[in-house]
Amino acid sequence: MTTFHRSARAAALMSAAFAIAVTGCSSGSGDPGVTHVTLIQGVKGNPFYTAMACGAQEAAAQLGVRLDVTAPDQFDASLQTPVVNAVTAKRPDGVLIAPTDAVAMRPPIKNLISSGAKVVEVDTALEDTTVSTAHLTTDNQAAGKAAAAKFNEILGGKGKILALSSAPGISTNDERVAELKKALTNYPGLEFTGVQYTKEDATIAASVVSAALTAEPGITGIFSVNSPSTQGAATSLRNAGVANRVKLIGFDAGPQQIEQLKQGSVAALVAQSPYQIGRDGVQYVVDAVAGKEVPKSSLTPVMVIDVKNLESPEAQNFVYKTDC
Amino acid sequence: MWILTALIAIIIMFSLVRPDSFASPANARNIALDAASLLILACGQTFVMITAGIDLSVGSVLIFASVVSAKVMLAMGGSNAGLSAIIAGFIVAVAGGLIWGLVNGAIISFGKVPPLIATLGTLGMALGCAQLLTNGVDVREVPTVLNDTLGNGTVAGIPWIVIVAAVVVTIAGLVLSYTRFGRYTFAIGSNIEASRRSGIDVRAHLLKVYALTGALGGLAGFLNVARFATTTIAGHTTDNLNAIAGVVIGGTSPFGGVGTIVGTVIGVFIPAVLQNGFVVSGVQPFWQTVAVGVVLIVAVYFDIKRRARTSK
Repeated sequence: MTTFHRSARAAALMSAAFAIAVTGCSSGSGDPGVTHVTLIQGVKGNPFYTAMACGAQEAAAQLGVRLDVTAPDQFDASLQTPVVNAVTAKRPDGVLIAPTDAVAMRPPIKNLISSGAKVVEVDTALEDTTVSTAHLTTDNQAAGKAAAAKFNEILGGKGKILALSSAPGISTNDERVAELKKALTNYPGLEFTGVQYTKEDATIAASVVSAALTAEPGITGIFSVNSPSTQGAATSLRNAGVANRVKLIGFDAGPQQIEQLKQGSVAALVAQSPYQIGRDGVQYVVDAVAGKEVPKSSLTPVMVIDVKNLESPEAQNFVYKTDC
Repeated sequence: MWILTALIAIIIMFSLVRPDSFASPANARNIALDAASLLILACGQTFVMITAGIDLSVGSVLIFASVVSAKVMLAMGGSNAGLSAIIAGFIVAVAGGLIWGLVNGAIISFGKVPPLIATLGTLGMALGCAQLLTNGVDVREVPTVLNDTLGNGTVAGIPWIVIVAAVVVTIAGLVLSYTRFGRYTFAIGSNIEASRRSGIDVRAHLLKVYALTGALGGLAGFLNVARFATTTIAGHTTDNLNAIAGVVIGGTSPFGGVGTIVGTVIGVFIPAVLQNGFVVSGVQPFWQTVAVGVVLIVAVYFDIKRRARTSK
């Protein structure tokens, strides 16, 4: 009995010591004069958000503000809400956030703003545009149009195209698919065969693509609006032995996507500018904290990258930097 | 109660690191609010796990209940719906959860399918049904009154959702400790054969336990709609594992027969406090996942040690 209690107490102390050791690593000083900014990503460990954090870091260093980066385990409003609430408790001066749901994230973000923080939305946005100070996002319409044009080029003007999205209700993904569908009507030889949802899971994407190819063998083009789906689709095409016939256009230009492009499992990539979103976002939020006027909504450019233009300086600018 | 010591140590530690922000009433309120819905799911899970069972379907049941409830409220007026629609939405949510609980219970106690498999099956079925009903698109027309009161309102500074969770926890704790229902639950988890021979209707009791868990999932689903004002179909995928982790950290044995609701409350709060504390202290988010994993294994390690000691 006594030994059990002693070891139990030791374990309790151990867990506490562990937690102290962890928090000890990065707890900075609470300088009152320094502007504190927090970036709340949509999900942990996605190269798009990592590049965005790098851009934010660069701007933070230049402007002399302190930047923290945090994220939920999954792209899920019920998991992002506690993160936003914890950030609210920190009382930062400004916050950059990629809301994981256009409606569900409204109450916690409003609460954050009422605690005194200036909020800039990055990438995704709330349906209610009156909540935040500013919104920076990829020109998703241009992305959809560019993908349609690229399909026309690589498919020789003829084919059926399937779109892969993560889940309905994510503003950025919906817009990319809608614009692709609209733009495809300009090319009489190209036909839109619908959209499938993959929950940003490569395994789900692989099985969805296999099923879609069985149901509709005429599919010759796949447009994937996020990187896990691209990875799953590429695997599925290779397994089915149709990688040469079915052309895949992916989204994002992280290290893995560039590798896929070089290997030829992806025909082209629509690259966004996460680095610029992060950098400009910090600039906006710092301006807003200082009481300056900032543009309510801004779009950042996209570029279609393929093996032919990959080495050009312009394309290299669009390749995501994930180490900083 | 070494686990309580651990929770207090964690709270003290974060309060020392960030006295101005972590240790504020507003933050305590936020942590309680974030833990509330999981706490309700974990109460049901505690009963199930004491019977040596498991319920993986709770997150999907929550989503299903959110969807049917939101659909009913939409049909009765959507954003402008009044009290009658809200009451109907509440009843439908709990009933929807109860039905899945009964399905689980029937498959497990009468069909003799192991709980892990039965609830893995209904996990997919409940989520799939929710997606079928909505075509995968969230229902977003939730009564504004509901969102402003139960969802985000407070009474004397305490959020409504936290009050509901506290009531559920209190009732669950009393039922488990002081009623025949609670004693049967422990008896079945300790020795199912002995329970049967001493005259307990084991099948009927298991059916009731899973039905209870389903109904609590339904209640959590209703609170979810009230709080987020949408059905969050793509969310709550890890609620089942988080509830199980909370229950086990709180000292309920994964082998059945042992457990308390008080322990579950502490077990749910440890991950919630760790996550909040890590974010408040600006620690890299990946650490939180590591820390919760460590706490879970330490908790089960002590459970196994305790069992070895008592069986000696």
